[in-house]
Amino acid sequence: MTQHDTLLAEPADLDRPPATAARRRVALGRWQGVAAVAAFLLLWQLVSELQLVDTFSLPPFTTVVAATYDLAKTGLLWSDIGISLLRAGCGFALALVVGIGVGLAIGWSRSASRWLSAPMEFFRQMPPLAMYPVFLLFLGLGLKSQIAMVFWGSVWPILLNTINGCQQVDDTLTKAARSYGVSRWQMFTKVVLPSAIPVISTGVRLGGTYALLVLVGAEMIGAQNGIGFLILNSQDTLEVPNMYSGILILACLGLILNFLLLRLERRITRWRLHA
Amino acid sequence: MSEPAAGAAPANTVPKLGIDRVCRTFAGVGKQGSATVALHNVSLDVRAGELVSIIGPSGCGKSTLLEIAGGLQEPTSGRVLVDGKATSGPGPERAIIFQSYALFPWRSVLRNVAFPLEVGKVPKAEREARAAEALRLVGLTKFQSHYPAQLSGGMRQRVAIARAFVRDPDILLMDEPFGALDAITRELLQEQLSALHLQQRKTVVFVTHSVSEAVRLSDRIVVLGIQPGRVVGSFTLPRDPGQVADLPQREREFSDIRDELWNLLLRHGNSPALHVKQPG
Repeated sequence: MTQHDTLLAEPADLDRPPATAARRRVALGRWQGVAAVAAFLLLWQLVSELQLVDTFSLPPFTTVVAATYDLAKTGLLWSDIGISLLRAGCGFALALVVGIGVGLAIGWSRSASRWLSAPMEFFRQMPPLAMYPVFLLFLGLGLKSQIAMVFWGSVWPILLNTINGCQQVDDTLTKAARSYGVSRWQMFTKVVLPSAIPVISTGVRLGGTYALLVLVGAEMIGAQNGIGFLILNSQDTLEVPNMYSGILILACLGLILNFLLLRLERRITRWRLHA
Repeated sequence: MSEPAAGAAPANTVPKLGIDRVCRTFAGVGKQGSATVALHNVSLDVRAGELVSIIGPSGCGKSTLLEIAGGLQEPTSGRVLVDGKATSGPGPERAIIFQSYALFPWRSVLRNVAFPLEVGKVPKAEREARAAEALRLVGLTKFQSHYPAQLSGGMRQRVAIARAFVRDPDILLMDEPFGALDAITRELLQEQLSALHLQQRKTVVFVTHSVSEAVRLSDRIVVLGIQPGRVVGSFTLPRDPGQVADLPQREREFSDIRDELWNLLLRHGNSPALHVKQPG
């Protein structure tokens, strides 16, 4: 090897063949998913139209769509969605702040996590519905209790994943960082936090799902509006198509939320996609 | 005794890196667990510009010794000296290169290389310029905005080498740096390290478990034995100063040393049968 300015030769470019096959497989998978959902809706329609089940209990899909349209026209639906989103949003936001904040503090300090992991496991086992009477006592009937329920339901996966994420840092990365003389704070912001982010964002997505789950329960037992109330109340008043509207809307909200959180996660952890 | 490499300090001045009677004991695990002596009374002086390999069977404490030299672990007793002054903890005059590269997967190649400067609060424009220069040195200029996961093992280790070079340390501590690479990449990087060492005049401590790698690269080879980890032999391999070494040629030239090394390693390996004639 001769000695010149650049000692090491430039390797060949990383030009990978365009992954057309892989892309086609992804597109095909998406198409198959849409087809399966369509097939399910068609089955629903047929089962009801052909009266294979009681049509009162399961009205045809098209009837549910029509009912949804009517609800939307009266504006009732939008206010229900709005109040539900407000409750879920406030509770989830609170869970994010507390879960990530406290989680980072605990995860960063070994002694704190040794002390607090047992009580946290214990609290986590208390279902939000079981906590509702407690929230009622302290916060009264209304928005605050509803938010507290959503918070309680979604904070645990966020908190526990944040703690885990902080503790799963690759040992050689901390060694390398220490060899460059990082301060404790730099170790936290430049090594621990970025390597915890994928684990934290998984917890955030889980928490988002739980927020909607708990929201429905909270609205069914202690609210006079919202999607959860709409579902239970429609059943009570025998407006069964409206009940199914509420259920479908919840499913759509869940899908949208998960999609948005997944997009956010991919954006933050872009470096992982290249693996 | 070999002549010191051209440009290196004469033998009678203070060594660049001194390991002075270092012992390292690990407390036992559990009630009956007895303490393990990982290193016993290890002393080693490395002259400026010298490339010293540390070789030994697994469990001889060679990685522990390197981490102590790098300030990542404190010795139970003994001292680490840089330019004759006792040190504690890591310092910018030393850089460690790990077998597993230890690149930050969420940082681009350029930002990985700039990391040590960022820690030292060097302004952004300057640290990026210096990181780019270090990348040029290892021939990875085109890849500065790639992420580590997009690179091959050999390229990742070159990024790690660039990161080690970016603060222009005097001493490079390499912990089996090519151990995870395939044979061809390994050979290439050996050539490149050898050339880089010649050009940059760094003092290098190179931990390896490969006899042929040690013979090819080193000015001197120090052999560690096991239980406890201690120096059991030392070989000097003279080379023409200022000239790029032909590594396979060196391996042929020092084939007798290679054989002796093998014998020594076998005698001090961790097989109980081979353990019997271990000298006190």
